Amino acid sequence: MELVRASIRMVTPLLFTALGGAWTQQTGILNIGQEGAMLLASFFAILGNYLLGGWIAGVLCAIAASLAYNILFGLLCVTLRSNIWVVGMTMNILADDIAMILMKFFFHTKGGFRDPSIVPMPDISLPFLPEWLNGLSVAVWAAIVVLVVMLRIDRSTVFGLRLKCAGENEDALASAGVSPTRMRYVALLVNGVLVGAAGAYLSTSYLVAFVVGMSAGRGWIAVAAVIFGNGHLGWTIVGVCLFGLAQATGIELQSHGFSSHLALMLPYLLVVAVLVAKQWRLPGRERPGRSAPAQGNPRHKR
Amino acid sequence: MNRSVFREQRDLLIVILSFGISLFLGALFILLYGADPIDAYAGMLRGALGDRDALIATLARAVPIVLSTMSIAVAFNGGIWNIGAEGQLFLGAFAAAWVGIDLKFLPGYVLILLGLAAAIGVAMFWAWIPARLSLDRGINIVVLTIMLNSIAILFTTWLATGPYAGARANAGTTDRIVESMRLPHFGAFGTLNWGVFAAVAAVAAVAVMMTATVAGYEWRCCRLNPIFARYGGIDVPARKMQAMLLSGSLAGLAGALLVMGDHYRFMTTISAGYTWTGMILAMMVANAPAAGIAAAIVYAVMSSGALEMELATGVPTELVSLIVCCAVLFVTAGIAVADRLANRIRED
Repeated sequence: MELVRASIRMVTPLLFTALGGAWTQQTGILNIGQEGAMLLASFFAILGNYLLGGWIAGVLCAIAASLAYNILFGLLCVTLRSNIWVVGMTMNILADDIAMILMKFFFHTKGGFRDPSIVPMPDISLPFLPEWLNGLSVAVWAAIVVLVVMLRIDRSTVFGLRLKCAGENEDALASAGVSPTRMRYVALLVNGVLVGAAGAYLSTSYLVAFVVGMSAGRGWIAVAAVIFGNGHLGWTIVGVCLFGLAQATGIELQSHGFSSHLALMLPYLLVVAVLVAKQWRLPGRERPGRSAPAQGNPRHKR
Repeated sequence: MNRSVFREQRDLLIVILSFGISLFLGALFILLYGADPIDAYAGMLRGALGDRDALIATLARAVPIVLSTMSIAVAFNGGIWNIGAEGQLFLGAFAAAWVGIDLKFLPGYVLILLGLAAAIGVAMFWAWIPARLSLDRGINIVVLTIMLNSIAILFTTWLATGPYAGARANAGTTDRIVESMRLPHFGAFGTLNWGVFAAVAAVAAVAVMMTATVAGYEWRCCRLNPIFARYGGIDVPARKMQAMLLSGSLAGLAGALLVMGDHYRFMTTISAGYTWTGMILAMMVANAPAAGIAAAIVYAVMSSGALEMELATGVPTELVSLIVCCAVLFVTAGIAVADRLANRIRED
């Protein structure tokens, strides 16, 4: 049971991020800036929480930062059609630097910051819930609500259809009078809100502190889940749960005296294994069906 | 011909302008810290080039940065996204340290050659895995190499804190390598060592390959238009694999030189994010080798002086990386805008 609870805690940030990423993937943008957005959001969550007081202020700051980040990503990759890898990798590094410079400015430290005045996100306990579901963060429940709502929108609304259409056939969408560019921005904005929530969860619930590099590849694991699902929400969630379970197992193994560094390798190894397994086919034989995941910008590849 | 010259000059102008704007943005952050930007930048230059010792330290710092930049540039120029140079550097560094610890009975020059070979071999192998998987199976190489980075770094951390932990336990460092394997330093101070010759030779060789050989031409074709490249008879996967292996070997060489020349041991903090720096530098100059080397040296000057700036004004050294990141974004945006304007003019 402890493992299940640990997995839920691990899955939550991945779920937020991967859901947002799955939607941008549907519109034809593989959002590889997730790692940086998550780190920036977790820093701004602490900053807002500390300066303004209250976890809600922290979450709002995190979302604002992540939105700004995603809008910049959109400006460069959607509007200007710059190379998605160049922009994404640079923005990931930029987020690190901005967090570090602002951290030294506000908190006069480099490395990590924690303070008793930071209010953690509340945990939810309800009498009718089984014991192992009690005491989980409000963000966990928010993630589940988001998941249900997004699945619903994805399956049975016009909006969900338009998102997919922006990625699969943008001319058809444009001729129906809907701007594919706008759909991409909408997906990026939704992604911004969700990654903001993920970052806030990391720094004000999972840990109540900001540590340098605290996103620790989670953004990338979420990207891997998105690639694994290739825009399909169900498979993305499967990937997320798998990777979250691996992270939790890795930490569990440490408490059984396993070398912590080797145990922490587990989720990364699993990601490689899953991606290899998914694409395992004889060389030279194309697999029919869905198109390959977006490797660059929509339409205008450079 | 004229057009391409025009484009080169135009792009160079964009790079320089972007860098200038980024320096200005950096100045805003310096103002945030209540320091005078001109003082801070001057302090940066003084700290990097002020006297002979500072100059030597700056040159020493440039070695891994130039190697990393070329490592990334050769891969990206070939159209294969090697984000895994950091992991390749770590494994290469550990391999060199292992040679210096476990094979110390061998004579010095054998050790040095063996250390270089082991580092380069291991790093190439670590680059080969994702390249093979990506080229044969179409697995996204960026995610793959990022995951392999984490695996390599955790693995070497385990080695350096577990089986190969040095006398100072829990410090994350191995024992020192045998004395005969250490590369001699220039002068009494600083860390500039004979490794710089190996670095210059490797970088020059790769730069020549990229600019003046058939291989370089075919790499560019693979990146710019793989379908055309295939039509023209280029074995695209083989060329990409070559670029990836070269990239890995440069990263491994950087790791080996850090161990054999600078630290004399493997440590978990051996890379100050060198390959990430190299990546943004390579992207800033669109993988052009000569410009990449120049950018890497400018970066080495800035980051070497940044320590002095941080001491004097409190502005963190990360400012340098921030400036370069902003420059990359400006360059990509600038070139995109310029291309569009050019297209519009032609259509009119």
